[in-house]
Amino acid sequence: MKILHTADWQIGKPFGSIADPDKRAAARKARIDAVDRVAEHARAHDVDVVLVAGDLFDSTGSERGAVLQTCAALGRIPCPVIVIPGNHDHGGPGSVWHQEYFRDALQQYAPRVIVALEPAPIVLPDIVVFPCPLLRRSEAFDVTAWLRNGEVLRAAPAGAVRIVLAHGTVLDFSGAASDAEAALDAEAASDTSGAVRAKAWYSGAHEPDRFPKGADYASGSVLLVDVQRGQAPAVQTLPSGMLRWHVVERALHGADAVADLRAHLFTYLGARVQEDLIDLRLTGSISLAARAALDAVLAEFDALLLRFDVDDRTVLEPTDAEIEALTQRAADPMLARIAARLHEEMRAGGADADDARLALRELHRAVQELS
Amino acid sequence: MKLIRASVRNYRIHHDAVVEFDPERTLIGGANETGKSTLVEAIHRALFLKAKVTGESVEAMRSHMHVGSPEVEVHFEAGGAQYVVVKRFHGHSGAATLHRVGGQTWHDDAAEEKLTELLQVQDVGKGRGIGERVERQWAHLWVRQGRSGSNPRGEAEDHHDALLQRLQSSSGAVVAMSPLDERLVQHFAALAAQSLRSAGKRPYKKGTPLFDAAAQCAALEQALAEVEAQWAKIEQARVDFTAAQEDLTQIELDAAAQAQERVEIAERRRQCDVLRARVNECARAADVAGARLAERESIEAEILSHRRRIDELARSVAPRNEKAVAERAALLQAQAVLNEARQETQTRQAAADEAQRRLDFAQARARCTELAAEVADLERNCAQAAALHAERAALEARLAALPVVSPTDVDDIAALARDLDVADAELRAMAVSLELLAADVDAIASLNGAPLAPGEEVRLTDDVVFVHGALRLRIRPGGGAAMDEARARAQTLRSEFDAQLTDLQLRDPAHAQAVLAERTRITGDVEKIEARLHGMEADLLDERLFNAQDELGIAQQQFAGYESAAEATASAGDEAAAVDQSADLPMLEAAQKAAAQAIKAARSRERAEKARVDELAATVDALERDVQRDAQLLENEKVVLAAALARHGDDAARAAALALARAENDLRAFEFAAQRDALEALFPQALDDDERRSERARARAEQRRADAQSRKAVAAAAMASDGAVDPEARRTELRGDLQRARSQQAALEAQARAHQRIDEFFQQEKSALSMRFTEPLAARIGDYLQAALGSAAQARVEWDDGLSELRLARGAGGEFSFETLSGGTRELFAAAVRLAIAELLAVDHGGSLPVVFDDAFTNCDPERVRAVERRRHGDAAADDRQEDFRFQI
Repeated sequence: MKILHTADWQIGKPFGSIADPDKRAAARKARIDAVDRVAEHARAHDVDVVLVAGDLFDSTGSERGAVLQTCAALGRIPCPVIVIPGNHDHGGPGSVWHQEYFRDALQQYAPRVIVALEPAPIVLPDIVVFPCPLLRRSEAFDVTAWLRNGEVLRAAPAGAVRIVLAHGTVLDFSGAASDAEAALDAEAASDTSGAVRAKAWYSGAHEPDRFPKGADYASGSVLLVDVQRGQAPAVQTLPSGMLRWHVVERALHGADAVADLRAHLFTYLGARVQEDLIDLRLTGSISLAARAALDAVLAEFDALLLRFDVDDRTVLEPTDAEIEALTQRAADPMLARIAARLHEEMRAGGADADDARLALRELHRAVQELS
Repeated sequence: MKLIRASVRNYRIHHDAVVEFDPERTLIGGANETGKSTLVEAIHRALFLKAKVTGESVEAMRSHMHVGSPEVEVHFEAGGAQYVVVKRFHGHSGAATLHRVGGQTWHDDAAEEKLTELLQVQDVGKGRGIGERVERQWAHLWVRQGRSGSNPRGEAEDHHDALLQRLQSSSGAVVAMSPLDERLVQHFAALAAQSLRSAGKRPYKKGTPLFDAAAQCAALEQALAEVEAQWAKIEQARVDFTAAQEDLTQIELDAAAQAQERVEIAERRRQCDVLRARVNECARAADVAGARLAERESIEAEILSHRRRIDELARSVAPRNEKAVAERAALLQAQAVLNEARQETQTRQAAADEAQRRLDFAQARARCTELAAEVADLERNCAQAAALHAERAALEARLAALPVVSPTDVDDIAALARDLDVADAELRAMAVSLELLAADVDAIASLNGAPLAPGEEVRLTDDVVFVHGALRLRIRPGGGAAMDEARARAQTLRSEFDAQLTDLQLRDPAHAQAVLAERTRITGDVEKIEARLHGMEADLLDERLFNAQDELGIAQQQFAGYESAAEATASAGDEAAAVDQSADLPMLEAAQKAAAQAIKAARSRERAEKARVDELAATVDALERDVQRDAQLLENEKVVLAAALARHGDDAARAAALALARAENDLRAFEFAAQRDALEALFPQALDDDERRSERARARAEQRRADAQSRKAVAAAAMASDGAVDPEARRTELRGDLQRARSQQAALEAQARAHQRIDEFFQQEKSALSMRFTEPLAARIGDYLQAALGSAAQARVEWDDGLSELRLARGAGGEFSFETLSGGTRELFAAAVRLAIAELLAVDHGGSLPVVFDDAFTNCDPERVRAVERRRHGDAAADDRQEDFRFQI
């Protein structure tokens, strides 16, 4: 019995932190495209059933277009798919699962997909799935509670594999529930996918949707689970993501700092354009000229990346030569006097120093432009 | 330029005034309205107003006192030569002539053009508004009346090019800013202007990046608020939907419980109906048993009652029976006594009858005797009465024969007689007495035809005619009317008198007296007889006699009866009776009375005995009836009792039946109570209420169900989506957008602050530069101000494409803009500025320019004005300058 375990597709995720609408659309599209890679794995490994352990949609009211595309993609999976709602797309009243446009789309494009909106066993040949759907955003009680009664699992047909399907951290996969061959969950407390305890597995998202918070973040994959009744499952991780999310930290110092930064950033991208997302954190100090160069590099990468977050904490420190070039100008006495005054304010520090720094930068730029 | 001389003709007040100007200063004084200002104005017009102007400007110059057009001639020095300009203002036919002394002469337009050139002013032309334009010519030098306190900044505007040139050459300053400086100034001024917050509603100027950023933030906030509201609505709908669903579940549970309750109530009602029927049944059975028992008890009571009655009757009849017997014995005895009394009564009655008979006989006899005597008396009296009646009749016959004369009649007659006598006497007294004493016998003497015998005396009371033979005499008695009256009266009286007598059949009064006396006597006799008759009761005598005779007859008849009876008795030999007949009456009466007494006593006794017998008989009757009735009743009771016993059985049988009925009754009562208690235990009285309550609960549940379904439907509708928008995703997007827009706005604001700061610095630098540039002008102004206001006074002059700002600095006292100064200080300041400008500009006019102060120090302290003047005068002497200064104070 082969199962493909996945979750957290979060289709329709708005990516509000991406400014450009086209890039946003691309980021959203990537999550739908990843479903096809899931389908390919299912086909390649001759999977019996695909289990989506919650948060297939990012919200309870996904847009029709995304829903249609998703259903079409689901329809391309060559085996039955069982889906449970998670906390993002919980199955409460008014949610997408109950909307007519979803029902119609499912019927039309993905008739093999089973959406489990209530905790009741789903019996397929040789496998019984015990879904634990979330029917509200935050469920106060344990959604696996219905499995505590051992009779539920014991009632499964002899020889059938029993799988508990849940969303969120299954804290209590013990007692009767532990009789199941596997508990397939959507996410763990950490970003790790895989086995957190015996027979309990987390798949993570099929396509990464955020910057990693730690070094061990491994997303963008699905789990291929090979399991038989009464045996521990054999689990294999298969890649499914396309977008790459990077966190880059750089301290800028010296004349070549900006050029180095540019080279470093290209090491992440290679030849890829708008398939990477970078969270850049900059510190250090830069001259007026370097500032201008940095602005140019940031603009360049903003075009190359699908998302470019810059946490710019660099400090503007004009060089002596730059200061001299502004203040020692016999031909432009007024400019010279003003530059000197701003430089003086900047050096004095205090409340006005930052404004003076910015003003000097502006003055510098204007001089460059108007000279 | 220097004024030398001016002639003013036919110009308002002036007919022909000539002013010779001092090379340094000329003072023109005079009282008000003597034409000082007019003179100054005329010179100004000659220099700057074209001679051919028309309209108000010309009209204002005309004199009302002098004939001829206004004409002004000014002799002046300019460009190193002397000129004479003559202008005659006469509208279109006005004329201008400019003559260079010792040289060329220009006329009209050429003259005007040349003049403009010499004075280095712009041609102000003609036509509309020429007055104002002309006023502006040399306004910075020419203080007109009432303008002394105005800021000379504006007045110098037309000359700022010349002033700039002079300042640049005199300050010796290099070009103030480099081209780059200039561009930077403009660049940052433009940027600062963009970021300047304008007053009013909009924080930033429209079209600027900051405005756009703020607008974008606002738009995003608005859109976010809308999406949040939409989302909140959906969330609320979700909550409502869930709540409605839960309500429906609860309502279904409640409805099931209510349905169960209704079933229970229905079952209770059914049980109650059954029990009620049973209770009724038991009640009827209990009633029957009770009736039976009552009947039994009634029978017992009846029998008992009969028995008691029989006992009572038996007990009460016996003594009364005994009493009846005793009473009957007493009755028999009383009847014997009564019979005895009756015997005695009969005896006594016989004796009394005899005594009565004897008395009656004796009394009848006595009565006969008495009546006979009475009859005899009455007969005697009757005879006597008859004699008296006869006598009275005789007397009445006599009386009837006499005239009926009353004493009144007698008196009347006597009175008439007397009156007649009197009347006659009066007549006679008046009458004539005629007596024929002798007459011829042949001739018959007659009086009124009646023969009159001689010697016959005739009394004449009336006219008479005496005839004797031929003699006819009328004799008329005297007295006249009185005699007639007397005669009439006498006649009347006589007639009455005679009539009276005749009526009474009397002859004369004496006769009347006699008749009356006779009648009185007879009447007296009659009355005596009457009295006697009355005394005898004569009227009754006959009747009494008749009655007495009748009674006598009866008494005699009665007596005869008694007598025959006595004879009969006597014939029977009763001696005593015979004897008794002779007994006297009182004795008989006593005997009779005694007998009557005896009979009365006997009768009384008899009645008493009779009453006693009657009473006893009644008592006995009553007793015997009573006894008899009770005996009858007793018998009846016995019959009834026997019948009852026959009907209801003997005592034992009845006792058994009674006990049975009592037991039955108790049983039925118990059954009834048991069923009733069972019924009450089901609270049948609460059934209706319970049903109504249950029905209400059902109605409420229905209402709640409908309500919940409605809420659920509303919520479902609110949640329904066509997938057009994902509000949750949209919210996230908008939040990101808004965050970025705010960051962008903050960055722009920081940038704007930087721009403003740079712009501010540039402006400060520019101002400092301007101060340096205007220093030569400020220094000259300052010289004058120091002379008047003290050494601390300094002028600050800013230049920004012309004079832009004038300020007075007073050392530690601070700086004051021109407009904030007092009126006097303004006058001083303005004068100093004019003088300083004139000093600077004089270089282009051959080192001299005329400055005119017309009434320019109205508010200023005269001492300060003199200080300025001294300053000017001293400088002029030192520098040997040739400017004209005309102070008019």
